[in-house]
Amino acid sequence: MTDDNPQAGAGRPLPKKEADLFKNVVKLYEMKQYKKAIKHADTILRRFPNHGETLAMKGLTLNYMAMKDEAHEFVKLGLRNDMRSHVCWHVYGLLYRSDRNYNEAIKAYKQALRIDPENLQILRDLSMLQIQMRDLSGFEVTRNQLLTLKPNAKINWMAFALSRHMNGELDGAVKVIDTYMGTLTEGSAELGRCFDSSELALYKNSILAEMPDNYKEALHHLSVCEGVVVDRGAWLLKRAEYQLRLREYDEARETTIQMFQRGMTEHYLVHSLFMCSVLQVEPSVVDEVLSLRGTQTLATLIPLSMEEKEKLTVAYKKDLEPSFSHSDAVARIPYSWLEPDELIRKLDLRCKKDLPKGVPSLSSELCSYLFAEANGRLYRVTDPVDCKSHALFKMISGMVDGYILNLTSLTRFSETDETEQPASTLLWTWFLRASLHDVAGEYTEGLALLDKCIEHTPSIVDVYELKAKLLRAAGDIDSAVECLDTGRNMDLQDRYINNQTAKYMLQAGKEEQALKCISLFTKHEGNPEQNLSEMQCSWYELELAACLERKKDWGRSLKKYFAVIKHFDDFNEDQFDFHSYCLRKVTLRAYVSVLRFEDAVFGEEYYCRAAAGIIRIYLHLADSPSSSESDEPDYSQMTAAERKKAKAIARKKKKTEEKSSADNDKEVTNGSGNSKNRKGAKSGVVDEDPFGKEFLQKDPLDEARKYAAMLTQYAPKSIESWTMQYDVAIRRKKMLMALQALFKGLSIDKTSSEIFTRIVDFSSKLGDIGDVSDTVKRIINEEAPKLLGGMNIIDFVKAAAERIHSNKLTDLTYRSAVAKAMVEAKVGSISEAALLITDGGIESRNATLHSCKEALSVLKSFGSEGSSAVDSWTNVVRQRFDKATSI
Amino acid sequence: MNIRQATVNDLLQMQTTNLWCLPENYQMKYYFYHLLSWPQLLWVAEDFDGKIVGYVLAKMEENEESSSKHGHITSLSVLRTHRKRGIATALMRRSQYEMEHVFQAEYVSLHVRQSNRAAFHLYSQTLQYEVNDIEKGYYADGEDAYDMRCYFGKHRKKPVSSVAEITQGVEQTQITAS
Repeated sequence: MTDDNPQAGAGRPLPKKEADLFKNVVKLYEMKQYKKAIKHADTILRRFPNHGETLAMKGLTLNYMAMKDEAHEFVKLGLRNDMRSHVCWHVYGLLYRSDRNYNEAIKAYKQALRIDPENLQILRDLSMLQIQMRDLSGFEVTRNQLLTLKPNAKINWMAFALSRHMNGELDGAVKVIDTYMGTLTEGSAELGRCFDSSELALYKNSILAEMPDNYKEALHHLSVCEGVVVDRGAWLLKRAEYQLRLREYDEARETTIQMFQRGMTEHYLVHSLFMCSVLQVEPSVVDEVLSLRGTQTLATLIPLSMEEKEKLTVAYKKDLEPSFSHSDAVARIPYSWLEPDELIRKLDLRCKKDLPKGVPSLSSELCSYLFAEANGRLYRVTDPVDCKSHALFKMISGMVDGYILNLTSLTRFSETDETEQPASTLLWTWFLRASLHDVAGEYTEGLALLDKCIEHTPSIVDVYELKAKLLRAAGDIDSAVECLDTGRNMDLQDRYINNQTAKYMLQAGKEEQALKCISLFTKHEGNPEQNLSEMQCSWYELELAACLERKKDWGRSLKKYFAVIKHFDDFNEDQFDFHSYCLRKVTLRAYVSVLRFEDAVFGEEYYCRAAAGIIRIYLHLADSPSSSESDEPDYSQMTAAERKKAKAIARKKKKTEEKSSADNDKEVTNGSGNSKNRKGAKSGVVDEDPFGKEFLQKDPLDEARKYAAMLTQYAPKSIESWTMQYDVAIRRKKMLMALQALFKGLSIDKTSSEIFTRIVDFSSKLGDIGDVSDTVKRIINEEAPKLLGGMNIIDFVKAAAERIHSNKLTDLTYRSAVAKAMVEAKVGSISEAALLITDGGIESRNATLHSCKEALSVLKSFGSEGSSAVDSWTNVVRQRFDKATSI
Repeated sequence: MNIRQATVNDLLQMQTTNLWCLPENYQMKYYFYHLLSWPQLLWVAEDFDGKIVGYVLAKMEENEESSSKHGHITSLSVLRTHRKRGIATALMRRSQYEMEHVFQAEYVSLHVRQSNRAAFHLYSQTLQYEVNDIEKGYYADGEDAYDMRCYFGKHRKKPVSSVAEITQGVEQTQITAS
């Protein structure tokens, strides 16, 4: 026999009839007519039961008919029968790809290419997997091959350029783009002004700007490509940036003005660039400015001299105010460098304009001008104690108090004011004052005003929302829920207030009520929880998980935390389809940004919160292994009332578990169909593990280790990543890892109470570091003292206590941590330790109800000697949080 | 409010904002799809610290052979806490401007719930959209939608769309639309 028909593989070509049938199988598969494809395959297999490629194709088809196991069997059988067929290997790769097992898929494709090295389809498929898996060098090789094989396809040029860019070969990438442009004939549409050429030009420009010290060339290139660029906004923004970096200040100023003229007046970055050009700042400052967020500008970043302020004032008056008189940003940005007495006059006007309209966010606008200076930079003041003592805040509060007085007696803002105000203006002024009380942590005063608002007009949703916020902060979450629910009923069409209510319900431990509430907006989409999960509603899942975690319902809580993790795996997977899409669309700048985003996606806040929850629970399970079973709270520490409540919860929990596992059994036995509550649910899959039991069966310490590793890799700038890493490492007796975590934590925040506590903990464990090598011992002995700043533990704790004495505002959580450490390390007396909390703790930073309660439990742990401190602390906390139900 | 073009780093917050404000929600992939197809048409509003308080998600309808090239507003929302500050108007105007100038759109279309009077007012009064059609049962809960359009530049009957108009921080209404 001859080997003239590679399609049949292994040198045995199929006869004409079967060969045609095989072609049909492939065609039908591609057209997703799976049943027919199987039928045809079976016809071939009746005569040639060992035909490898047919077996493989049958397997691949079965895969799409939800028969995974059979699919793998057939594909493997096919491959075994015809190891020399590239079709079999390709199919093998496709099967792995659909399982998201990309590494195996890559191996299979490479086998296929060994047999058929120039197969374009396989090369393309391989390259997509390589970029997905960030095998960047492999990707470049494959894209190079594709370009060599098919240089007339634009997409191959784009892909090769991109592959070089991704590998950091910036010159090479630019060369590929230039060569491609050189292949175009004159008059080609791609050389003219259109979206594709615009995107390509700006992509090339972005690569030029990535080259070190290459802004000059990048700027030059911008003028070269100006004619083809349709994305003028991006073009101008880049131009201004380069000009500033090159110290071409006058030109930069001109460019920013062009941006304003293009309507970008509300873009604060453009204002910052304008200011940079006016003040002729150094390029390093431009760098800082480019990473500013929100409405922050150069003027809220750096303390300005009088002369600089004057320059900016003139520039705004001369260049911007006349032409852009409608712009909110042009009007308000100069406020940020006014002296307090001038500023308050402007804010007065702002209030008089916004209060009659009822702008709920007015207080956050006013508080956006509260700044303090540290280390040559400005930062915004946010902690209640800092706000309260801020000069401008006092002026604002006084001003608003004045409005209230005048509106009440004269129905005008001031005696000199001519305009009579409607009654609603007074209401919004109360609302504003209440918001300011909230900022200052004065809950009682704020609530009193909000009650006046409700009495005045009971139908304003925003009032209920703020009142609930204050009630929660003051310690009465149940009333907060009730309040929000009342507000929600005023506007049942509004999803925002609905969600807010559901969120508070979860924080109050009412998860069933919360689900009912949030379902009002999802019910038409089938099973509400399933719908929320399909829509990747992470905030709800995180709140629910935290709620269940507080209830020690570990399995269900883990299940929700893992649901969020799953969303991020999906986000990461989402990029797959865009690899070829973007190369065709030429939206390469956006594509590169997405690739870089995906590389860091597990550092996003929601992911980190989920991972932290998972670690906390697994560490708890590792510490007390029996608690994964019916975990009843520790009743001995509770008061009689708390005990009663907790037992009721435990009873209820058990009952629902029994009930719904019975329901679940019913559903399973019923099989598919007829179950009403599954109607409309897309997949109709029964949740076989509603209580997350599978998560409780895992090795807790190993799971915790995995997620701590994710946090330290993807969120290395977050202090929580390192405290988590420490907590896991110390339990695994990985002393070096624990030590490193503490150093990393210190480098982020030297004053963190979480790190302080762990340094003390680490020091106490140094006596017993277990069975480690001499090298490890030596490193620990050398490095550990550095954690304590060269002191022994007693002096270290003493020094921390000193810091608290010298700064009355020191964070309450830090005070509690040091007080605890004093007692543990036997530094001074118990009453001295207690003083760290009771002497000024309530007036310190971060004195929330939560941190006050933590401080209380620290004091309680001191035993009988601390009892008078417990009493006095309880008193001040009750005074401050007079709505708190649990102190 | 800082009004700027969205980047990929905004998409998760845009999805969260959408889930907080509207009953019509989308998976992340759909946000990626918009960003990777028409990056110039996605805009966000940020408060002082960079929290997203509003967004517009828009696209081009490019493949309908019969109709002329036009943009479409997929989704627009502003957090309840930040209403009455002209944010929705500013976002819409920016996205529309780019539709017209980057993609040469002749007009922009959108759907709005018949019961959403605040949004209807924004579109018809402030932004000068006109009702093109009514789509029966357009929304999942069975409600009808107005299909509205706003023509740009030379395609418009009345003279319009100057830069001054775009930069205006406009007095207006509460929004929710999709």
